[in-house]
Amino acid sequence: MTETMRKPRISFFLNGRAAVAAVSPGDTALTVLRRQFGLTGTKEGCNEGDCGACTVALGELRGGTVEYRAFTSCLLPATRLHGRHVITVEGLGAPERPHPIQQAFLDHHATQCGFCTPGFVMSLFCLFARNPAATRAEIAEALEGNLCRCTGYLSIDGAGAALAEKIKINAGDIRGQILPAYCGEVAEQLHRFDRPIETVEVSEPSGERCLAYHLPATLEQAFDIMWGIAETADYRVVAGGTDVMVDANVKGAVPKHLVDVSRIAGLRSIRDDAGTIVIGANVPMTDILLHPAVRAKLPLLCAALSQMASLQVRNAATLAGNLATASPIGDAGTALLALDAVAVLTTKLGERKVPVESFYKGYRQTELCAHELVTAVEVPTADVAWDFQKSAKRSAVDITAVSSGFAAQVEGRRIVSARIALGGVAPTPVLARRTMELLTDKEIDAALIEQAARMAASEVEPISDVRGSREYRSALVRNHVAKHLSKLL
Amino acid sequence: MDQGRIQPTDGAAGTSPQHLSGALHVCGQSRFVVDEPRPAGMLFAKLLASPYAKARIISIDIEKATKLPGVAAVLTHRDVPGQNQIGHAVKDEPLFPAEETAFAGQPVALVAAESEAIAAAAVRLIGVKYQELEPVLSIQKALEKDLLYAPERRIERGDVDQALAKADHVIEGTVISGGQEHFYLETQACRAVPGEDDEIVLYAATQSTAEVQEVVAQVLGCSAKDITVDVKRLGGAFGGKERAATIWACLAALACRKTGRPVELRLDRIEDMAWTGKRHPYESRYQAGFTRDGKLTAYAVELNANGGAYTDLSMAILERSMLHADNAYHIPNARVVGRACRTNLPPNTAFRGFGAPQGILVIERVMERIARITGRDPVEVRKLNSYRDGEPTPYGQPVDEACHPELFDRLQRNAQYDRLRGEVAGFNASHRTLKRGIGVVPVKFGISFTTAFLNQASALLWVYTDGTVSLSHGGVEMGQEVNTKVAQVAATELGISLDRIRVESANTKRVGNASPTAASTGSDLNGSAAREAAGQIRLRLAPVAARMLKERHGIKVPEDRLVFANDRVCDPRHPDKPITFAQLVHEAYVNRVGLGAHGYYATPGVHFDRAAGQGHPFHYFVFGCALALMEVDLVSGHARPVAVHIVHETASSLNPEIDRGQIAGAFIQGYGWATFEEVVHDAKGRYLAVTPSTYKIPTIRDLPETFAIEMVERPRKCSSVFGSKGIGEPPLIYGEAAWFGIKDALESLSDHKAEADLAFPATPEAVVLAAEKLKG
Repeated sequence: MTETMRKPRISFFLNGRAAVAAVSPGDTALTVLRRQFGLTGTKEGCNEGDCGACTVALGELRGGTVEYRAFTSCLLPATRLHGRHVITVEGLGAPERPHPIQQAFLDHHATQCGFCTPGFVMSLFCLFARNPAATRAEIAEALEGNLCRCTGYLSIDGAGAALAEKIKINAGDIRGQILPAYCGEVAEQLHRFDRPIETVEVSEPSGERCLAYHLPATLEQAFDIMWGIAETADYRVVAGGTDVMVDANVKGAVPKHLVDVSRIAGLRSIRDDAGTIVIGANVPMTDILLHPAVRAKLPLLCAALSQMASLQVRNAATLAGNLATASPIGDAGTALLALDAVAVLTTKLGERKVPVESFYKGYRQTELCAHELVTAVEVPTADVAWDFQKSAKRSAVDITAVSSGFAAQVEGRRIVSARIALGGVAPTPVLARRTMELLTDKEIDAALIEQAARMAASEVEPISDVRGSREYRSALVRNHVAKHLSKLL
Repeated sequence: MDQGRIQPTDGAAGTSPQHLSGALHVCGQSRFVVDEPRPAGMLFAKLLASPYAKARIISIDIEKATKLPGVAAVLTHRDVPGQNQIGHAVKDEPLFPAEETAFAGQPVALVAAESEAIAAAAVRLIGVKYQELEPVLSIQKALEKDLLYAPERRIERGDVDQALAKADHVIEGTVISGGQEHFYLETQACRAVPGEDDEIVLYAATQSTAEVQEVVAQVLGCSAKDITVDVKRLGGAFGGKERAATIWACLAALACRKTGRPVELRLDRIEDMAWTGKRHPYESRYQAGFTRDGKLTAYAVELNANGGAYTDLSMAILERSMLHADNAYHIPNARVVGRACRTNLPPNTAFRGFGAPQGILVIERVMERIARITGRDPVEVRKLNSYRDGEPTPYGQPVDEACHPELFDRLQRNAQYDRLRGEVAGFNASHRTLKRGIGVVPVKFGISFTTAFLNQASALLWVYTDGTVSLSHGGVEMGQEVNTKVAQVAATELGISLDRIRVESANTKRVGNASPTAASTGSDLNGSAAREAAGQIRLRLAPVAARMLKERHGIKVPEDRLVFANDRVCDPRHPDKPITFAQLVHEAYVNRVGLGAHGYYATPGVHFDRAAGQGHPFHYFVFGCALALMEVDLVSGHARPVAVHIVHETASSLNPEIDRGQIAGAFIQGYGWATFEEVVHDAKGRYLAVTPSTYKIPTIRDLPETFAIEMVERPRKCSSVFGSKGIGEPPLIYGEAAWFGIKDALESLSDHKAEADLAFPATPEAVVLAAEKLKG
């Protein structure tokens, strides 16, 4: 038996040259770089975006210049390379003329077995290409998504710090030091780039695999594609891809169609309206965190997002994706719940607004109907006292055992109203309603804190799983709520 | 260049030249097994693994899988041409189970197909009927059922019972430590390529070339000469590719033999984490007697290891635990009992430290308790009990050049210990939800395989007529830079610069019968063999050089006075009149002097009588100690290392920067084991944390704010090649200091009156639960 498959033929820039590749719809950038281009410097360590060994730099035009960001190529659908510039470790330097970052790794003995090294080099490249004045803390942030089992990171940290120092000293020609010479020419070509993705139809033996990768440019096109697919179970919408691709890579959950909404221009903006910030569905978390209005007015959301996953994943992942995947331990959902945010859901026929509070229906179930998309999230910017706590096995780059968001209107020591959202204690992120009631119109003091913390723990019935026991999670709810409220003292 | 002085040789022993493969690594040009170009016609193998820890196999139906287009072979226990047996030291492990599975994740069938996707699809078409049986998973259950891999082992010295009876204080307790996933970045992989005349070449990610060769021959029913194993480098191993890599090579070789085509078998991360063995969990019981002032006089300990489903290396690992039960302390009366339990977990295996960390943890718990009971400082108690030069271990080997009291002094000085204690007390008094604590752990680590015959190595060295060198040795490069160090040894011996030497892949054709690269002996053994080989060449070149100096410069110099350095040979009295190494080599060649040498080395004087539990198992000991200042957040349970100080005696290091990297890397790995790396399985014996999203190893965020490593470099009589010492494993144990630091921080909650009931590893969960108990 054979099936017809539509293979995208994509055009992009790979290191110093233009590249064309016919890719399978379900292919990741990692597979294509290694198999079709023989660039084996990019390694597969885990195939789920958690080790960073496959990190590449993806360059894309932003405000007139090409900005390079680090992506785990194992979670990057290959089709997304179209019209972009990919730099791999081979594109930076060669043994006889290593790039300054590569030289720093050599000088500091920052490579041992060498398997993780290309990923570290690429992460640092993206950091310094964007931010030549990177601090020690920013270096750690850029590298926290890269695992090394040999060095203990001491030498890598040393290489990064020395590099930052060197760049500071030679401040004259930063881009010349970090960006490979071909980047100028590639940038010009990206400005002119207008080639469409071609499609080749091929007949191949049938099997469980993705048959088509759709990359609509408008919402209308996206809806047409979705309506054109008979069964809703046959497609999955890809925003950042950091969940869909993990499912495909490690659980073998490969849908027949992938509908990638990341290039729908209208969904990539952040708008600061009176009293509300509207965040488009496709804004990557990194951009949300960089946005001045978000930073100024939504510190709780920033606290949650900045602790989510690694920089590589935040460069891809979106708020809408985190909502739609409806994981009880998706921290963005917990933060949005605390902030009483509203999801904007859109179908071919129009849009509706649903408070996040009623968006979640059950474990991995949402209010979303067939052929409906989350297109934006509206977050109120009321001046609130806030706190966000997250506990996990590892303090950095880990999935939550329990997270909690707290937002309260206070007048002096009086709590006018409070919202407490808890993640990891129920099938969805939930509000601690009784505790919220208890706190309403109360003076804060130690006794109230104690009472509220115990009440919050008694409101939920967490389960035991690989991330923590029920007993531990209950204790965390108590600790978190006490910590939130102690900030009001 | 100043011709009046002899220039030092570039990259000689004792200096820190760059990683030999460093430039390739940083540029992404170094190749691991699956990075090599694919041979034409290569097939891809995928495995069907048992979902049950223990089950009777009723039937295996491969018909549908075999018929899937693109499938070249479906193989089970019925297809093994030789012995269905991959055991090496102990032959108790089948390649495929025939009647009963022994652990969840055990390969039951293999598919070789044109692509990985087809192979995976075919695996799903294999129908196996199982009858699930009740597995044994815990040490307790195994002990109840008397499921031991061998009768319990004993090491005994003095009269423990009498000393316990006489002691001022007697304590007893149980110490449990968890497993650890290796998490080498490169997963298990092997390519098997058929040659002519039934030869198979295996490009295997293994630490043990000879073992793979022997066991593959045993499985295929052929001879060792028919199998070649070649290893260029590993993307990390840490013991996880010592014994545990053999099975994948056997499976790839079998598929290659059956299909006549090249076959690649690579585990993906989940398969690797779910199916392979880990560091042994231990459950140990002790009784300790000590004097009023804290001197340990009697120590009885039972060390029980969870060995998993097959013997693997469990007996050797247990032995090393027993031989490190004393750690750095002289105990006049000691009784160490060891048991390795058979359970239905994947066969637990070698992991950096090889049992020593688990044995050491127990006596360090004892030291902490002695300090608590006697009211003395934990470092002072440790100093008091430390070996003095020449004092005997429980197994009779004297601890020569013991230096712990001095190393502790250095550690206390470096960390400004007394001031630090005061600062910590102040910090804890002024913080409600953040608490700090200090942990200190010393290490005395014995270097040598305790299986004495493994302490041998070979090297093969060719000098080409242009003066460059091909060097092969039995060690496997896995990031520890054994290649850099061995090349440094040869470069020093021949007086040539490092860039003249190419270190070849570890290959059974060039170096046969190689011991695994393990036990922190890689550079000692292979470096010594390379030195021996280079020394032979030098001996042969010397007369030629003497003659050339005489002919060219009129210098008459005895052969043994010649200086080989900086790519030249000269009379030290006339350093301005050298001949070049290249000239010398060419001259030697035309005069028909052999330019190839095989060097052989066997560690002298090591022996151990297992029945008596006495002997001299180690060539020498490595000494050091560490301090960790930890900060615990009682809200989340997260702990962070504020400062770590390490004092480590490296003797005359071959490459100080490599050693520094090994110390830092080992510490962080041990830190992970002691803190948040948690191996968990369900009631059916299936591992639950089988991805890096659920099993967490340290990141750069876990780097201590202050990470100060003092390497004590000084000549030591008890050492190896060029006065150096092994480095790989001992510093892992320093990670235990983090656990003691967390425990100390928690105990500030009870003003150090009550002991924290803290699990090992000290995960945030363990911290939160221990804090709850202390708070009452």
